[in-house]
Amino acid sequence: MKGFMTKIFCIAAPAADAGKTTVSVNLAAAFAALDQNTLLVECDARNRCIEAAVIDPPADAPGLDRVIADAGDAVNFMVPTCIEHFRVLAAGPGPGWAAIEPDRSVFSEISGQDLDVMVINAPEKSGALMEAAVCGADVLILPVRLDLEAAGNISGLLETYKNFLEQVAAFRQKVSAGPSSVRILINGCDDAAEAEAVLGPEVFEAIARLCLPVCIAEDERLHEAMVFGKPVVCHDIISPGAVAFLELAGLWTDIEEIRMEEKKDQIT
Amino acid sequence: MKLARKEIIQACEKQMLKMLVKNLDKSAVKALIREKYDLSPGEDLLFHGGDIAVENNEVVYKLDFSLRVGMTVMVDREGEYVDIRASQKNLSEPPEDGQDSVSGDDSRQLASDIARMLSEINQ
Repeated sequence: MKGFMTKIFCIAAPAADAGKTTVSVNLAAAFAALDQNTLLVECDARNRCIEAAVIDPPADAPGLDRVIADAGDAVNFMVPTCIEHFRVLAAGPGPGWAAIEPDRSVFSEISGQDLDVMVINAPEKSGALMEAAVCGADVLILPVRLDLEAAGNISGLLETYKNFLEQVAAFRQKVSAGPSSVRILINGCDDAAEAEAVLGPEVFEAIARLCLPVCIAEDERLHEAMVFGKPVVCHDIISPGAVAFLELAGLWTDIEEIRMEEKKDQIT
Repeated sequence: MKLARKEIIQACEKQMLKMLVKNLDKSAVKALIREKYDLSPGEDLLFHGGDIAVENNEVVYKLDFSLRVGMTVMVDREGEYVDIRASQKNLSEPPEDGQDSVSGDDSRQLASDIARMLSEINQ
């Protein structure tokens, strides 16, 4: 993938609490740890990604709002993180982020910045920006949090994802573009067997082949990392969360073997 | 003087409660329910949230659950109320008419729809 066109990943979900920010920050950091020149783009004006990826985040950092308003080149607003090759473009406090023109491919404009990977965190409330992110992405990842609360209402959960996919299909039809691959990422389960227990065997069987082969387990180290403004690969690279995200990033890179100890030495 | 962000504290508290629930001995909780309320909970013991509180000068974690319980309501031939008591029937068994629950059918259909839609996009 390195030295080729920027691969754009959009992380989206129909509702809050699916784990979009966690997945976005840690997947982007994992790509960077695998030597991919990576940009994490935040579409949420609350700037959750920059808080979760930067130890001392600048208050109200300008970012995507200024790019959309044509007030400067994206590279001027990219914030470095504790990992080499990993920068964040915040949503920014300005009103511009919500006022994107319908036909503008803002993420393609940003992708021309010598980037191997762009990961976009696209919350459901970001409206037209989410539409632009979904349509501009090569891969759309839908995190699904399968925890105890979800287990109580599986049909309600599935209904929201079905409605969301109908929305994605409508976006694709409108612009005749969009992600060539859409995959479900199971979040909050140790493995596929636990996901099957929560969803029930028949539901799991129906969607299993469309799920990514890595599950993101509930992991204390992962949550600690987010609180301290460090992606988990920077916080504790041998924790299960870090290993899961490196495995996930490895699916889209040409690195056949992830040498954990070597990476650990480089980062620490 | 603010020393920490409240959203971080709240997120950590929420996470801690979830971890606590995940590691809770559900069968022991069900046994307590049987003992204290004379009810037979089914398989669905669902966590809805929790809180940190003080009880008898000690920190306690309040975990809110809902559960399905089997109840038998008895009416006589005149339609008058006779009694209501805990049922011994196993709620995890399908209904006697052999039909699966409506929500189970819904889930399977929705999962199939999602799979179809994803396959169409991924083609």
